[in-house]
Amino acid sequence: MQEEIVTTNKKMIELKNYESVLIVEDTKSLRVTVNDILKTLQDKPIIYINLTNTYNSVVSNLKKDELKINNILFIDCITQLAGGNVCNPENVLFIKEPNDLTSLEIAISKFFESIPDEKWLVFYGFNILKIYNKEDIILRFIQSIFENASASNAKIIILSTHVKNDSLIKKMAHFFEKVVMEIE
Amino acid sequence: MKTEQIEKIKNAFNDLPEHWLLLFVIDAEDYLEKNIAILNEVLKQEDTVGVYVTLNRPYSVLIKILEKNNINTDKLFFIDCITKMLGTEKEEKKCLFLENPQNLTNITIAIDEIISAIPSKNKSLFVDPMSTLLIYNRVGTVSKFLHVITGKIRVLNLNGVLLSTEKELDPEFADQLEQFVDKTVDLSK
Repeated sequence: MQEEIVTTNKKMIELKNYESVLIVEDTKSLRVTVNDILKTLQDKPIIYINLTNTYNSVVSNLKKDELKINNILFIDCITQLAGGNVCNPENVLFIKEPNDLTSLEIAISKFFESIPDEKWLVFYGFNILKIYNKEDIILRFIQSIFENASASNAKIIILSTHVKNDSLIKKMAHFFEKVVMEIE
Repeated sequence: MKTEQIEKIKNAFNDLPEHWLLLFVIDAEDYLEKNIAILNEVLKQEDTVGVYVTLNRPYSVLIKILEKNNINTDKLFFIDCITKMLGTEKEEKKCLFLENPQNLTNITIAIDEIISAIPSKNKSLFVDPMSTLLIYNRVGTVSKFLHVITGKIRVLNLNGVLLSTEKELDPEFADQLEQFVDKTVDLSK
């Protein structure tokens, strides 16, 4: 039986064919793209890291857009940083701040290990890591995520905005099977 | 101000989440006029109480301007980061005077204090203008501060308006700022 494809966008169907994708767009487009991706993958297990917004706010936006969130494990690196109360639902892990890459890495690898079948890491607002971490540390983090993903048959989509002469994007692009760069 | 710009400001408040965060980019030319039009829209919303963080205009000057423009200042509390630097502050019931815009931790604490003291459910934070922080602090420090402040706006269920002047913005900083908000409204064009 043919698999039902839950997507509104041809580009998203194509992205599903790659093991790892880096998407670099302006902020406005990136917001639409991440929702399209989550919609396309909504029946797959996803670990979703969003560095620009809190868990409550992300969930409320996704629900507003009628996205299913049952298969998503959320990683929130902002709520604790902003002094918010940490609730304890099963589908979220709170990390103290975005410079705690070790905790982030552990959360990702645990998720990868816990699911034997196809699973996805969707990382939104990746460039925010630069506020808190040096470039070489971020590159080592990326390398380690890729090693974990390859060992666990996990797929990776990273979304980032692009600033002129962004050396981090240039240095990390070679890790990915597909790079989508849509900059005016 | 052109009718088109007035419409743009009004429309900015449409189709937003329950609690929202907006960034307005304004040119220096008619900054004050647009600033007042935006504030007016925020305060129009039912039961709104606002906290106005002023980074470049002393409270004593600002309050006169707002009153002259028929802004209901009863609905506002102020955090003034500039008067103390000029050495001219006197005690005011509705204003917290901070040493300077360099001490970002104090700004965060002041916001926490005032917000927790306001009983209204519909609270808005108005920061005028974000870009001034870059005069007093390194870009990296301001970026971290912004990440915390915008996070705070989310976790405290506030609404937020950030104002910025286009020319003062470092491109990387502008890009980060845009990612933290629900909508960016460019009034500089």
